[in-house]
Amino acid sequence: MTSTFIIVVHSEFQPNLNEETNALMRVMIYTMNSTAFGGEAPTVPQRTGTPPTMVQVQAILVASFCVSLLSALLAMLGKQWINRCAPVNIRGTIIERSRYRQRKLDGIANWYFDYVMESLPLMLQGALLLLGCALSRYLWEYNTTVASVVVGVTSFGVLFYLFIVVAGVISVNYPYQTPAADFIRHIPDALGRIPYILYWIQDTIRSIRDIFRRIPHIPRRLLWAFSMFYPAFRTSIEESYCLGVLTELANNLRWIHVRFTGCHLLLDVAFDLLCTFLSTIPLLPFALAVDACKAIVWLLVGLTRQVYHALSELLAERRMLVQILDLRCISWTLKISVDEPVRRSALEYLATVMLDDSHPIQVVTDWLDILLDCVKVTNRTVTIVQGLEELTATSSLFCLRMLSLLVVMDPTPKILEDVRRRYTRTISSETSFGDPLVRCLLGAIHRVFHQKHTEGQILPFPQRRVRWRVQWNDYEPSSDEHVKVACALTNFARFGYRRSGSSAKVPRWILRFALHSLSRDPLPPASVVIDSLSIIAIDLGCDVPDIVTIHPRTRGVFVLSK
Amino acid sequence: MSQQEDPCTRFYKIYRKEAEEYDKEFMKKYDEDLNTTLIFVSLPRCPDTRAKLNGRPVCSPP
Repeated sequence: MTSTFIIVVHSEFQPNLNEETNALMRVMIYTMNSTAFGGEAPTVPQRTGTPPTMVQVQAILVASFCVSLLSALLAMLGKQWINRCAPVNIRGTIIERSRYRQRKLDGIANWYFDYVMESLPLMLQGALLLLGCALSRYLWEYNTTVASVVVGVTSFGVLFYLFIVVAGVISVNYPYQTPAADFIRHIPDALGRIPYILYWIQDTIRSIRDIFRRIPHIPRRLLWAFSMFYPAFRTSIEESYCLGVLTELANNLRWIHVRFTGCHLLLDVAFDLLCTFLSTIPLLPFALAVDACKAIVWLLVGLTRQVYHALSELLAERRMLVQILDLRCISWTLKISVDEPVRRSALEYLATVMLDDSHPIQVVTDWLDILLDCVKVTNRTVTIVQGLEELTATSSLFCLRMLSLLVVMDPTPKILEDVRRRYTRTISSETSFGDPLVRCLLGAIHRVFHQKHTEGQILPFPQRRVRWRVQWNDYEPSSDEHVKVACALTNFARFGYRRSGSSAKVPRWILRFALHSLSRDPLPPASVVIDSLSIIAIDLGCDVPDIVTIHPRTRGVFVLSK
Repeated sequence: MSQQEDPCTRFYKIYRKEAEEYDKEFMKKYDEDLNTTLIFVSLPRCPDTRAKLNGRPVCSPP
C-alpha cells in the first residue's frame, strides 16, 4: 500500500506541465487580444522546487516502505528456517536424527528465535504508524477536514495500542497480549540481575588486574620455556652439519698457522690455504640446506603433535556434546510428557547415561525444573506429587551432583544465579520437607541455595536466616546413590574451603552426613568412606586434593597444610 | 521383544514419537503467523486499493 502512496506523492516532485501550458496559452491569447483578461497581463509562472513538506512526507513513506519490505524478507527467511528445523532430509539412524532435532530445538531457545518471530508484527505495526503519519501530513496540505479524519483514526489506533500494552503488563490473563507488554514485564527481572552483572564486572576487572600482575613473571616463564626446549635445541646444534664444516675449517686453519710459524715456504702455506678453502667452502651451502631441512622437519613434527593434541581435545569435547545432547533429550521428554511408560523409558536410559562422569552443567536448569514440577508446596511444607516419587528421587540426586560440579568447575554466578532464582521462587527458606523419601536430598539442595554468607566473601547466594536443619538420621540410601551424594557433598565442602581459606569450617549438615555415613553398619562402599574422611579432614583444616581430577587409586592421599 | 531392546533405542523411539507431535504444532503455529505477516505485507497487490488510489485524490489545492 505504501508503494502506491509513494508513487502518488512522487508526482508532486514533477513540474506540472498542464499548468505551464495553460499559462503560455493565456500569454498567446493576450498578445492577440489584450482585452481578453480585463487588461491584466498574464505571466508565465516560475518553476519552484519541491515543497519541503512533500519531501518530509516522502521520507516517512519510504521509511515505512523499507520497514515493511524488511519484515517481508524476515518472514520469508523465517519460513525457510522453520522448514529447515524439521529433520526430514537428514540421513542416519533414528538416534542421530533425534539428536539433530534436539540440537535445533536448543538453538531455537538459545538464539532467541521466538523474539525474532515476535518482532515481525512489531515492525509491521511500526510501518503502519509511519504510513498513518505520512498520510495525515500529506492530506493536511490539501484539506484539513479529510486530514482530521486520518489523524483521528491514527491517534485512536495509537492510544488503543498503548492501552492494550498497559493492560497486558498489568495482567497476564488479559487476552490482548503484545510483544511490547512481554518486554516491559521482563524489565524488573532484568533490573534484579544488575547486582550479578556488577559482580561479573568486578570479577572481570580482578582477572584483568591478575593478568597485569603476571607481566613481571613473563621473563621467568620464557626462561622456563627455553629450558624445556633446551635439550632439543642443544642436540640440533651439536648435530648441525654447518657447524661441523666450520669447525673443520677452523682446525685446518690452526694447523696451517702452526706450519706457517714453523718457517715453511710461503707457497706451501698458500697452497694449503687454497686447498682448505676449496674443500670446505663449497660444502657450506649443502650443510646449510641439510640443516634447514632438519629444522623444518623438527618444526613440522612439533606442529603435528600440537595439531594432534588439539584434534583429540576437540573429539573429546564432541563426545561430551553427544552426552549432553542425550541428557537434553531425556530432560525434554520428562518435561513435556506425563505418560508413565515414556517417563520410565527416559529414566531407564538416564541410568545408563549417568555412569559416565563428565560435567554437563548446561542441563542443570532442566533438571531443577523437572524436580520442581514433581513437588508441590502447601503451608510451607513440600510434598511429592503422587506417582512421581521415583522421578523426584532421581532428579534430586541428579541436581545435587550437577550443582556440586557446577560450583567446583564453573563458579560463575550466571548459571548458579539463574538456578537459585528458579529454586527460591518456588521454595522459600522457611519451607520444611515432610516426605522422608527425598527429605535428605532435597534438604541438601535447599541448604545449598539458602546457605549463609561466609565472612569476607561474596557468594552468589544472598544471606538468609535458616531455621530448618538437614537431618540424615533416617537416610538409608542404596550404595550407588550414597556414593554420588558423598561425592557431591565433598565437592561442596571443598568449594567452601577453597573460597574462604583454611580458617573456614565445613557446614554442620555436611559434617553430619559424614559422621552418619561412617557410623552405618555395615560400612558403606570404600569411596563413601574416603569422601566422609575427606569432609572431616577439610573441617580440620587439611587441604584435600581434587578428587574429581586425580586418579582413583590416589584418592585417599591428604596433604596437611598445618 | 521390547524387553531385550537397548534402553537407548527404546528411549529414542519414544522420543521421536513425542517430538513429532510437538514439532508439528510448533511449525504450524509459526507457519500461520508468518503467513499472516506475508499477506499483510502484500496488501497493495489487492486491486481494490490500487483502483482507489489511482483515481488520485479527490481534493484540489484550496
